[in-house]
Order: sequence, then C-alpha cells, then structure tokens
Amino acid sequence: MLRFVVHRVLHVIPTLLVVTLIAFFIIQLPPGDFLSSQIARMEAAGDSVDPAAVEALRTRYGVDEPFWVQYWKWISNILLHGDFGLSFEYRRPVSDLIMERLPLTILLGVATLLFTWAIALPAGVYSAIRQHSGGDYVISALGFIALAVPNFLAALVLAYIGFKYFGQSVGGLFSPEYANAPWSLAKFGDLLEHLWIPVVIIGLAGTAGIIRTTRANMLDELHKPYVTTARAKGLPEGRIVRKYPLRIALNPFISTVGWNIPSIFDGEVIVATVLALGTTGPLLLSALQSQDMYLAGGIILIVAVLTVIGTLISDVLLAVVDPRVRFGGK
Amino acid sequence: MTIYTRDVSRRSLLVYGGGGALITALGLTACTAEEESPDPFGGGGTDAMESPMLTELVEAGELPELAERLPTNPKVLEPLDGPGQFGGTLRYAQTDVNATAVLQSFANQGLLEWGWDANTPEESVAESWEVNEDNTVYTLTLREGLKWSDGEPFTTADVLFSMVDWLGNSTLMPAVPFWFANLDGTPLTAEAEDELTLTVTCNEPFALLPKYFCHPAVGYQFLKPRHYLEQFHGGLTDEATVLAEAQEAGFDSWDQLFADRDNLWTNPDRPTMGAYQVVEAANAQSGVGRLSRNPYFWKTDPDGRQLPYIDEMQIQVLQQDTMELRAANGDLDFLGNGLGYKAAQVLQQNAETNGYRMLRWRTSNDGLLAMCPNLSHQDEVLREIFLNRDFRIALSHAIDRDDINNTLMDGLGPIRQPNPTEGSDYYVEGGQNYLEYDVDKANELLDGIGLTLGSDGIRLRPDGAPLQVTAIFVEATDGVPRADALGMIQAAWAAVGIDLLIRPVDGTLASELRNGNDFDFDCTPHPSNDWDLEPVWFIPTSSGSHTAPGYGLWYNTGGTEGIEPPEEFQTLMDNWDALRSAATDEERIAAGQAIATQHDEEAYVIGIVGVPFQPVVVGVDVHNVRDDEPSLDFYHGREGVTKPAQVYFAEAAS
Repeated sequence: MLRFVVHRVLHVIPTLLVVTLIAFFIIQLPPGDFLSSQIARMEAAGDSVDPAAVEALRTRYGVDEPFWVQYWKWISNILLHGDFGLSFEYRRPVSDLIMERLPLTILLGVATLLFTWAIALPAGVYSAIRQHSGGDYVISALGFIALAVPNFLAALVLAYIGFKYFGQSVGGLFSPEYANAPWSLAKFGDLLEHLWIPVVIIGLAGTAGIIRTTRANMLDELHKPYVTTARAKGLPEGRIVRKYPLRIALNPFISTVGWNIPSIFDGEVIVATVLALGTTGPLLLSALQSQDMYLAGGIILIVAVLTVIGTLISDVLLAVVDPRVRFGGK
Repeated sequence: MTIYTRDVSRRSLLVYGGGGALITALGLTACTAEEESPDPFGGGGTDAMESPMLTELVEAGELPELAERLPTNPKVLEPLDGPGQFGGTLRYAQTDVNATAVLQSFANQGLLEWGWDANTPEESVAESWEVNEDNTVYTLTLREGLKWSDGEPFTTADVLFSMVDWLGNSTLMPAVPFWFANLDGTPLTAEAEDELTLTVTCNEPFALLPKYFCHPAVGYQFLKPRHYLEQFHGGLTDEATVLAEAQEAGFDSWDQLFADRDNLWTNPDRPTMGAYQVVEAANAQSGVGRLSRNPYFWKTDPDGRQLPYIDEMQIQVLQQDTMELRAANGDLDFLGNGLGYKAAQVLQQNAETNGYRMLRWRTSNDGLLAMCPNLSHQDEVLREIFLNRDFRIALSHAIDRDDINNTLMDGLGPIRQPNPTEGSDYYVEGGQNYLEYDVDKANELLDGIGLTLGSDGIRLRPDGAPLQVTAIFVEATDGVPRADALGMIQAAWAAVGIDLLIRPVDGTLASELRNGNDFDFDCTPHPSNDWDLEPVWFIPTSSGSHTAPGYGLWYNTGGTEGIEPPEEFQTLMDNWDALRSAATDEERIAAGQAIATQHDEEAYVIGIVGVPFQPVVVGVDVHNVRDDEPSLDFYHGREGVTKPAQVYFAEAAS
C-alpha cells in the first residue's frame, strides 16, 4: 500500500509541471497581454491611454519578456519561496487573494456536495428498487432537466423570481450590510438565507449523474443470486438493500469522490459570477479575461494539485473499501 | 417628488432669512406628510452645522471643533433645491472591483472643478486662478487652512510633490501624460512662491490646462499627500529602505509600492481631499466597499454647514444583470453609471412599487454608434478607396437609419453624425450631412469613383478583387446592440454592392488590432463632444485611433514610425496643435471649429444611431439630484454633475 502511494506521488510531480506549463501557455495564447486588456477596459470606460506610457509599463512589469522567462520567474518563485507572485489586476499577493476567498468557497463547495448526495443517493436507490414506476420516471426526468438547463440561466431565473415575487435582494452570499461585518449569529443567518440559492442550483445539476449511476449499479446487483438468497432466508427488504447491493453500488461513487475536491475549490464559475458570490470561481474568470497571469496560473495550479490529490484519495479509498480492488490484479 | 423644491430654493431662503429653516421644514413636511416621524430631521435637522456623527467624535475629544477643521474660506456649494439634513448611507454599485469611478463621481477633488454647467472651470481647492495673456503661465492660489482627511495641512508642497516628484519622476512616470506635458514631451514647470501660491509654466500656450485640472479622472492626480507618500518615494526617502519595504509587501520595485499606497480606492490610510474616504476597501472577498465622510472636507452650504450631507456610502460590486435587478428592487439609492439602456423598462416598471424614481439623463455623447473606416489601412488599394470622400458619403447614404432605429431602439434613438452638438465650443452650423437614406445617390457616387459592379453584384476594387470589408466590434450590454445594428448595415451595404463581413472580437483583441493598424471598419460608440480632452477620437494623435492608427503612430512618434498622413490629415493635426497651444480662447475655438468642419464635410466617421437616454435610479428619499437631464459623462464625473456633496436623504436612512 505504502509503495503504491509513494509511486503515485512521484507520478504527480511531472504531471503538475506539465499542467502548469500548458496552463501558463494557454493563458498567454490570446492576443495582447494584461496591459492591453487593461487599456481596452479603460477605453470602454471612456478613458484613453498614452501608448508611450503603456510601452514603458510593459517593460517595467516584464510582460513583454518571452514566455519561458515569465514562466521560469513564476514557477521558481513558487518552488523556492512559496511565493505565488503579485496579481497584476489587484496589485496584491495572489496567495492573499485566494486565501481570503477560501473559507466561503469551501463552505459553498461542501454544502453543495452534501446537498447533491443527500438528494441523489436516496433518489437513485429509490428509482432502482421501483424501476419503471411513476416515481422512477419523475426522478429521472427532473434529474435530466436539472442537468440540461444551463446553471447560470437557472441562477438568473431564480434571482429574478426572488426579486419579482419575494422582494429579495439579488446575488451575493451576504446582504451588503453584513459583507464587511464581523461574524455574528445574525451574519450567519444572513449567510444561510443567501446560501441556498447557489447550493440548490449547482447541487441539482450534479444529481442527475449520480442518480443514474446509482440506479444502474443497484439494478445490476438487485438481481444477483445473493440478493435472492438473502430474501429467501427471510431478511426484511430494507435490510437486504442497505446491507448488500447498496454497498457494492457505492463503488463508482467512491472512485469519483476525489474528483469533487477540485470542484469544491473552483466551484461553479459562471453561477458564482452571475450571483456575485465571493468565491474563487469569479476570481479565476476575471483573471483569465484580463490575462492576469500569476493569479490565473496560481488558481489553476492549485486546482491541478487538488485534482491529482483527489484522484489519489479516491484510489486509496477504493482500495480500503473494496477488497476486490486491494487483492485484484495479482 | 420635486414639485416642492423650487419653493425652497436658495433665493427664497435668502429672502426669508432666518425663516429659511422653517420653510424647508414646511416643504419637507408637505412632501413627507404620510410619514409618521415626529421629527423629520432625524440627522440633526438643518440646524446642525456638522454631521452628528462628527459631533460625537468632537465631544469624545477625538476630533477638533468644526471651525478648526474648515479652511478660513470654505468653498460654498449652493444646494440644488434647498439645504438638507445630515446622515444616511447611500447605496451604490459597480461591476468592476477595481474601478475607481465612484471616487471621481462622489469624492471628486481637483485644483479646479466644473461648474453646474459641466463646462466652465471654477475654483475648488484653489481659491482663485489667473493666467497670463498667452496662456503659458498659470498662477493658482490655494485656500488657506485646508487640511487632508487625516488633519494634516494641505499646501503647495503637496501639489509640487504631485507635479514634480510624481509626474516629473521617470521611475514613477516613464512617459509624462499629455495633460501635463509640453509639446516636446517634457513635464510642465511647477513652482511654489509660498505655501499658498503656485505657478505652472508651459513652453507653449496651453489653454486646455484648466480643463484638465477639472477633469475628474485627471484633476485628483495633482493632489497627493506629501507627508504620507514621501516615505514610499525612492527618490525622497532612502531607496534601499523603500525597496526593502516594497519587497516585504510582495512587490518587485518601490514604484509599485508607491502606486499601491497611493491608491485611494484600496488603501484606507491614504489621506484624501475628497468628500469621502474609503474605510473598507471592496476587496476580492467581500465585494462591498464602504466610504465615510471626510471630517476635514472643505466645502459648506451657504449657511456654513459642512458638506457632504450624507455620512456614508456603500459600494456593492456586482455583475451587470445582478446590479440592474438590485436597482429595480430599490436596493440602490443613486446609480447611473453602468446601468444599461435595455434595463430601463424593468427599472421603470418597478420604480413606484420599490421606492425609487428613474431619471432619464443623457448618456455621455448619446452612446452614438458609428462605423469608423480605417483611413490608414495597410492595404494601399483599400486605403485609397477609404480615403475617397465620395466612398464614405455613399456608405453613409446607403444606411437606412430610421429602420435601424425603429427596429432596435423603438424609434427613440437620436440619429446623428458624431460631430460637436449645439452648445459645445466647437459646434459648427450644419454638422449633420449625408444622413438621408438614398440608395440611388449611393450607387451613383460609387459608380462615379470607378467601383464597377461585378457579375455577382459585388463591386470590384481597382485591382479586380471583390470589394469585401470586415467590421470588428466588441459586444457590450449597454447602448445600441452592435451585432444587430451591424447585421442591418450589412444588408444595406450589400444592396449597393459592398460585401461587409462582421467579426465580433474581445475588447483586448480589438485594441490590439487597432494599435496594429489591422482592421477595415471599427464599429464603436463615438463621442461628439469634449474631444479636446481626448483628441484621439477626432484627430489621429496615437495608434489608439479608431479611424487612422497608422497616421496616429506617425504623429505620436514624430514621424519615425507609422504611415505618413496625406495632406488633409496633416491639416487636421496642424489644427489640433493650434488648438492645443492656442494663446487665446478665440484661437482655440477657431482651430476646434476647423476640425469639426473638416469632419462634417469629409464624413471620416459614419454615425448610425444613439441611445435615447441613460437610466438613473434615485431613491424617493434622496433629494437634490438634478432632474434636468444632465449628461452622465466621464469627462464631467458622471453622477458627479449633480454635485453629490449636497445630495441628502429626506429621512435619515441609518
């Protein structure tokens, strides 16, 4: 087991290097650089910028240096000093920007994940046990609709309904008056009032996949001889399902649980942007739009690391849970 | 809501003398009769000389008395409809966390400022100003006893610090901006005679300088607190120390630290001369910023009561749709900048139920959409065609603007060419040529310049290739929907044998293409006025030009790079130089009118249709906001045209 883990970790390093290199390269692919996007933005606001000044700034910030030089400067600082660099746009250290958004991001991610599981697992099991029943069809239909409707659209529609019929203030994880206030019971209540919209929107979209997987796995298991045996021996139906097929049906679920870790971190970028949530998603989007290299690179690097770690966790968990995986392949 | 207001104007207050407050009280009571508050002056009434919020601090011994905080001769700001009470938090929103526009609108500060007409410079931080006969030497006298928001005195040392140690420092300012440069690119010369008197000397006459002092995005840059910022200045403090501090904070060089500390929007420690000061920055985490009143603000109303009336501002950073929905929900107290015209319907429908009114202000230059042909095109054949006046006139006649207006703007949009409008200094009679929809005339003109029709109905260029051009545009949520308008122009031009392709591009790419002189047509909103503050729209002065970046680069680099402009553009540039360095207003206006006339006759830019108005939401309890449809205009501080320091809440909101 230990050897397995060490082996996997060693694989991780070159993977990450390649990921960062490609990410950095892709961010730089669009024409222009941070300064030209900055200029475009100022011009859109009615300002005009002196090209000579821009040229001087370009040299100052090193954005006209070749790709390799910029990449090396960035990655070596991270590796040697743990310094993610300075965001061009915010003029603040990237690590500060990410850290201050992290708690809310994780809260939203975990809440969404739990919501998805709480809905999807029972629904999947139910629709397998009552296959082809009305309930099965309703659940499947709802799941697919949630999957098919673009999240950001659902967010806008829900926001509009909230505004139109409930007079609710739209967007954000807090009402403006609480945004900068220190934590209190009232602030927490305010958070809960706002949190449910993104949780429901992002969470529902994720249920369809899990419902279908659980349903398919359960169906495979439910007709196996051991279930029939258990039933013949007189075990109550609920106990049969919980004790045996369900546990096996959870396998693919565990093998994908690690994938959720990066998505907890970068969340649902567009929904979070539309709803003006103070999470890392909108930060990444705006960094990519303005070609804020170090900020975008930093977030992508963290997401990549989390993806790799998540996959590792999944593998280990699966080995722990399922003896067939542990002893297989010999 | 504004019916009563004329009755309690400043004049009537003067007439009734001491009874003024009573009249105001009556006005307010009449206005808010349904409200049950026994005391309509929750914020200390109109008797209080300063905000109760500050009185508390004075009583606690944390702040000097009002008299010690005000200058000897404060700037008196006439309230629009009558004096207001203190207090309240004004809720505002913006879409970009880094945008500082709100400070330029609500906490504007400059040596001079625009008057109510948003055109005439008047005294501000400077109590008076003079200029010599040929517009080369400006003498400004500061108010005596001005103080920064931290209580430190404001003197000419601070202005000199900005003009000499900041603008004149090659590390901080690699290229001197055009608003403080001689024609040869060197900074203007600034000298202080004493603590209050300052002279600015220019090599050539510089008649526009007072306008730049007023320009909200420029003017504040002349007011930098030396006592606070010099510790971050590598030229004034030991460079090694500052550099070490910069690196400690994560910056590579000291100028970055300086810029960071100098940022009024993100650094609450930076003293200001504006009406409000940031107390909590809208950082990435919260997306809500908080501004609080500057206790040392140097403007009062005519009764000597310290402005601003409103205590605090809350700035929410939101995505466009969310911002508009919040406005429609009555969650914002005063907002114009950034609200899209297409949101007007929703805003109007919900105004009454949600407690606000929607004003129709003019937009900055009407958001007039225009087609800009690239007159310095790299392809010499196309350049020659574009440079032909008849070609541009034909294209203008080929467009059915009424159709576009009816389809996209409910027929309400103004149809114009982007030339100075009446009332502007550079307005010329006429100025609106070639707007009629006349396909026959267009065809006749195109035939006349030898662009013969090919077999497939597309005209042929002199070199035999079909005349196919591409228009780039950046899609935006506000203003005239550009993709739709271009679709209609495409059909209209096809009818006269010109094959137009449409290419949506990202803002960054558009800027790159323009600066690289690599586009055929640029479809963009085009200003009509105030271009003397931003000449690039009317004269190719830089490679950022929308009509002739090649000539712009040539002008900007003194002829070493770019494409040499033909004679007519030389004339345009000469006129601009003449405008810029005019010794008298007459000369300046004459030069500007010559430029406008040339644009009028030559149709360098083809105007299409503009936006009927810009929606502005104002809470019903928010008073002293202009309802005479001023222009929500970058050059004049957007919401700042209503002088927000005298805006107040009828009933204190907090």
